[in-house]
Amino acid sequence: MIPAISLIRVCRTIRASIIHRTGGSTRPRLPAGGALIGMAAVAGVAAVDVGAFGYAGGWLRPDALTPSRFADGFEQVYGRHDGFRRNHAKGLSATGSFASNGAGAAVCKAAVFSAGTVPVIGRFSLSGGLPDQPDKPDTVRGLALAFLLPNGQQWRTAMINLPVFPDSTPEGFYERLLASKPLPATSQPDPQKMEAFLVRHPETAEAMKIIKQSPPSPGFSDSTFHGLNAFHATNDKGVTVAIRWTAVPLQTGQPGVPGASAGRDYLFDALIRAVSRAPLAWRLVLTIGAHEDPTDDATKPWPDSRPTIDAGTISIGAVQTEAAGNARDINFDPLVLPDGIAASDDPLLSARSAVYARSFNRRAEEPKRPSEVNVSEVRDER
Amino acid sequence: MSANTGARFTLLSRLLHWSMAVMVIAQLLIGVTMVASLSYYPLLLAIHRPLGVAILVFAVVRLVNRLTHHPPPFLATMGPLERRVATWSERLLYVLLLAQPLVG
Repeated sequence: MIPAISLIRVCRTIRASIIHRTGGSTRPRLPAGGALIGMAAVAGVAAVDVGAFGYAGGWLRPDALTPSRFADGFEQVYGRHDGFRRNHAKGLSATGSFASNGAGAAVCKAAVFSAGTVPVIGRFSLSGGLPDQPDKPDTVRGLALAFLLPNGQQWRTAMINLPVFPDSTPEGFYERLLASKPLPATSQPDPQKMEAFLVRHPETAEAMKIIKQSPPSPGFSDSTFHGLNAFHATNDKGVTVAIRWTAVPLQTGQPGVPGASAGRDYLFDALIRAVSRAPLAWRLVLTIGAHEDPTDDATKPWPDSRPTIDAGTISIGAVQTEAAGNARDINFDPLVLPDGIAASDDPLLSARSAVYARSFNRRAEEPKRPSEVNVSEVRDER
Repeated sequence: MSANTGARFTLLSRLLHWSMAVMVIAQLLIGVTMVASLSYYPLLLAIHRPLGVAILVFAVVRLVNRLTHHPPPFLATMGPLERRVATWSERLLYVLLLAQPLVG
C-alpha cells in the first residue's frame, strides 16, 4: 500500500514537472523547485519505508534467526520433503478423548479441567525431518494433542518422551540442529562440532546428563510424554501458578514391541496393533511449580517434591494413516491455549509458535505424498 | 491542499484518511516484523488480527463516506491523464483496503 501511495504521488509530481518544463498546456504550472522538493520528499519517504521493511523483515539482517531461516535449517539437515512437517515429519494420526476428573480445576479454570469428557485429536511422531526414517529406540518420540473444548476453544500441546528439553533458547536449538547434521561418511554428526556446541552450551550438556538417566521405554504406548515448557494456570479464584504437564502411560510392560529388526516402522506398527487390541491410556499429570522454579528454562527439571495433580485420563481409541482432515493438517502450536492457561516467559514457546506456523505454511502449499506409516498395511498383515 | 483552492476535505474524511494511514502503515510493519520474529510472533499476531478487522471496518466507513460526499475538485495544475491516474488509483486503493483485511 505504501509503495502504491508513493507511486501515485511520484506520478503526479513527475507529470506536473514534465508539463511545466515542456510548457505543454495552458494550465497553471507547478514551480519546478516545488516539484523537485516534492519528488525528493516522496523518494525519501519511500526509501525509509523500504529500509524499515527490509530491516523488520530480516532481509537487511542476514544473521538474524527468523522463523524462515529456522525452517531452512531443518531443510539443510534433513533435506526438503514436500508436504511433511519440517520436524517430527514421520507420524501417525490418532483420535480419542480426555476424561477429566475435575481435580485440575483447583489450579486451572480452563473448561478442559471441569469434570467431563472432551474429544481429542492426537499425533504420534518421531523427531527429525525425515518422513520415512527407520524407527529407532532412541529417536525422540512425540505425542501431540488437541483437546476440543465444548466452548469452541482448543488446547494444543506437543509433548516428547524426554524428561527435560535439550535447549533453553531457540538459538541453542538451531545451533544444535546444524551441529547434528550427519556426515556423509559416517552418517553420524561431526563429533568435533557437537563437542564445540556443548562447550558453548553447558545447559545442553547438563540436560543431556538428565536425559541419559531415563532411557526410552520399549514403545510408544509405554512412553511418558512431557510438555516440558512451563505455563501459567489460573483458577476461578484468580490465583495463578506455574505448571508443567506430563502424560504418564497406564499400560506398561506392553507385549508386542519387537526389536528394531522387525521392520522399518516397528515402533509405529506395534502402536497400531496395540490400539487395535484396546484403547491406550495416559494419566494427565499437572506439576505445580514453586516460586523459585524456573519457568523460562526447559532444560531445568523442577524438584521431584513438587505437588502434582492427576487431572484425568487421555484415551486413544483409534489411529489413522495421516491424511487430509486428520492430525496431518493440524499445527500443534503450543500457544493455542484455552482461557485459564497462558504462556510463561519461556523463549521456546514463541519460537515454536512462529516456526511451526512457517513449517505449516510451507507444507500446506506443497504437493502431498502418502505417509510412511500406513495403518491398513499393518492391519492386513495380521 | 493548496492555498489557491478554497475547498477542503471534510473533517471526517481527513480523520479517516490519517487514522487509516497510521493503521495501515503500522499494520504493514507489524506484519513483516511478525513473520520474521521468533520472540514477538505471538504478541504481534495478537495485534495484527484485531487491527486488520479495524482497518476493514474503517475502510467500509470510508467507502460509505466517499460515496455520500464529493471530495474537492482536482487541482487546476493536473492534466487529463493525471486526473485519470488519480481517479483509478483511488479506486484501486479502496479495493485493496477492503480486500487485504479479508485475505489476511
